[in-house]
Amino acid sequence: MTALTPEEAHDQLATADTLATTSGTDARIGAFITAAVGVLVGAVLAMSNAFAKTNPVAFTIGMAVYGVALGALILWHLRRVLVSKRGWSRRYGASLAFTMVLYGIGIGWSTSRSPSWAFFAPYCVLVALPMVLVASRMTR
Amino acid sequence: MKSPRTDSDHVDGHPRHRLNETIHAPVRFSIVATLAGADQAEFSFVRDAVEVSDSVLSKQVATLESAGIVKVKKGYVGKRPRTWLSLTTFGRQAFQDHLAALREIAGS
Repeated sequence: MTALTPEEAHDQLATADTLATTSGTDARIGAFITAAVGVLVGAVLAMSNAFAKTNPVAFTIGMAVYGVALGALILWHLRRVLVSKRGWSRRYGASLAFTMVLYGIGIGWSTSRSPSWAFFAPYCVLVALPMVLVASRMTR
Repeated sequence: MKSPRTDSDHVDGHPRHRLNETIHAPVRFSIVATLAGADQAEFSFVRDAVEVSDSVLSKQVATLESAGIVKVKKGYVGKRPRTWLSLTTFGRQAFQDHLAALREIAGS
């Protein structure tokens, strides 16, 4: 092992700090995807409550739009993002899991009790909230 | 009376003995440092960050992969081939240990 001087070691540490800084654009795209998926899940819950029992055609179209939008987001992310900031996958996965649990509760609530929009609309916002909040912290 | 010097004295002595031989090489150090800030990074991103050619990066990544420091994942996005690089758990710990040794040397 070649001996390093303290100055050389200091330079290597500075290099490591510089290289560990990932792309800001990719971080913003990752945050946007996270927020967008949360909003989509909240919107599809609202759409289900509005149409699942009363208008099967509108419900089917809504689900198709949801599927296409989600697929387009995922494809755009895969094509555009070259580097995922450290911790992005974990934070995305945890917030998605939280949102999906709330979504599941919302589906159960919507099918069993036909809730009024005064309560259900804020709940749909709540479903999106975990992913939107996590996204807002991703670019910091 | 002074006790004879043992292997563990050698390992625990000067921090340069705790530098990781595989990571220590300049290009490999830069690759690992780039990956340390990311969950995963695409081959071209690392190549541009480290400022090396495709062939040099491939060769150094192969060395890091065989040492269990870097994980290589190949796939396609549409018809375009993509290679994703990430640090393994062992690689991340090895790099942290390497940085700790560098900090000790820098502070000495």
